[in-house]
Amino acid sequence: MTTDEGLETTPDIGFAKEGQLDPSTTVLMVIDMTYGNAHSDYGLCEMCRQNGLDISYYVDRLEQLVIPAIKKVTEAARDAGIKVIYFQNGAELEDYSDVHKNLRPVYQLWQQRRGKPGFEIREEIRPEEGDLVLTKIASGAWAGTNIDNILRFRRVEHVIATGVATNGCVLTTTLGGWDKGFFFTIVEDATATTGQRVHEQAIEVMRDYGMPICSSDEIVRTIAESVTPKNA
Amino acid sequence: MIADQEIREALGLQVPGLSLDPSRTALILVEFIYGHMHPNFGAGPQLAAADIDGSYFFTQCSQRVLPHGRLLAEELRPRGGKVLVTSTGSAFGDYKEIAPGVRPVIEARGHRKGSREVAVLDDVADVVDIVVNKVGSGAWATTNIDDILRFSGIDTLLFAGVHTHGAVLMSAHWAWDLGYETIVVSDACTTLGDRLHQRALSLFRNLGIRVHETHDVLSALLDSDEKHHSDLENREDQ
Repeated sequence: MTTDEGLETTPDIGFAKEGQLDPSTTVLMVIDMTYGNAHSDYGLCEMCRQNGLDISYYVDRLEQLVIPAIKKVTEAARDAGIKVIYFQNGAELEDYSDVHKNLRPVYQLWQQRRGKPGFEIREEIRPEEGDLVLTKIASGAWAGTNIDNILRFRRVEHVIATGVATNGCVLTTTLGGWDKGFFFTIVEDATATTGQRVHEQAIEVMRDYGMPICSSDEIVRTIAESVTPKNA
Repeated sequence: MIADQEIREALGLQVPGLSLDPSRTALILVEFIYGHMHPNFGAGPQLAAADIDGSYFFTQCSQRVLPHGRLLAEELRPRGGKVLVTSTGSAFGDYKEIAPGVRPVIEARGHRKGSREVAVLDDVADVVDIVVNKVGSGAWATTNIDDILRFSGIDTLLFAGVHTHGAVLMSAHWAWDLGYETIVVSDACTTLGDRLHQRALSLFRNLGIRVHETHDVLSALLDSDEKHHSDLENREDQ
């Protein structure tokens, strides 16, 4: 729609669309679902509560939508032979000097580093044998890990993204990955951030870049359809 | 419901006031090229063919983005700062080296090596130090810009250009995530509509990326002059 202030949405003038889902060239990313980022008693949520901020929207979304959705999608991915890659964000070093200065104060504040409880991935969706777990010392996966090499060596083309925060590590990872040439699908109910409006803004940006936005039920169905039934 | 910006402020993590050391600062003019910012090349004919009114965008480019981008470059360079322009195009000519996500747009707009589409706009060409050729959307994923900046001692970046919610967003996010002091100059950027522009600015602020206007940056540069003179006087006194 055109207005006096220009277009309200990005016109579809050629951004790439979804690639075919092939389990052998697809991975599932579970981004920063650690206690420090995604549990009401630790890290971000604990700090917010101590400072009088209402974090209930985020906590409710995590418990009611995101954790069940990620559980469902990771199980479907493993069944289909899709590699699951977990990211746990935080410092490897005790003095946080391995984290860049834009993130360091945040990690220091809620003690997001190896050895602390907040660094661990949520028990309900914990990694299983055959999954990959990478420590991420930056917001996005590209600046803070060797994920680019891993995906290219495995000849990965398509990435399914879940995790937190929609407007932070998820957005930085998906935008960077898109620009590296990978096709992303975003599982909307498996992502969250601290406010609904910011969540929707980030989802809109990813949609504008041509990334399909789907539900966990939809991606589970797509994954199931992409593999031949074992008993067929 | 709360947004990250409010959380940062409540936890005492807000971004401090703007202060610049010009010798460690670079201005990144994102896509100040004919194919993206001139109505007669690349995007202009493509939007027209799709029956999309691009008048808002090109007016913003000519009246705000170009003059502000030039002014920033003119003020930064004499103080020791660097000015880089990003350009996107195919050197092979068949577009196969362009990242697949952005390839259809770049091919449709005819961004090939030697074409006017990939050339830096004459409006700023004389105030540019380096042209960084990329084959993706953002300035980082497909270039050596990080090496160029770090080897030059640059740790602070000013972003201007198009599109606020596209290449500027992609570039500023990545820069912030590499630890650069990242400043988006809001009135030196534009995109296809104000809602899209404001949405990107909101995302910047929530991540912790600074958003300032041109006059804020110019004030910070003037402040740096005073600090420079004060340092010189102190040295002479000693």
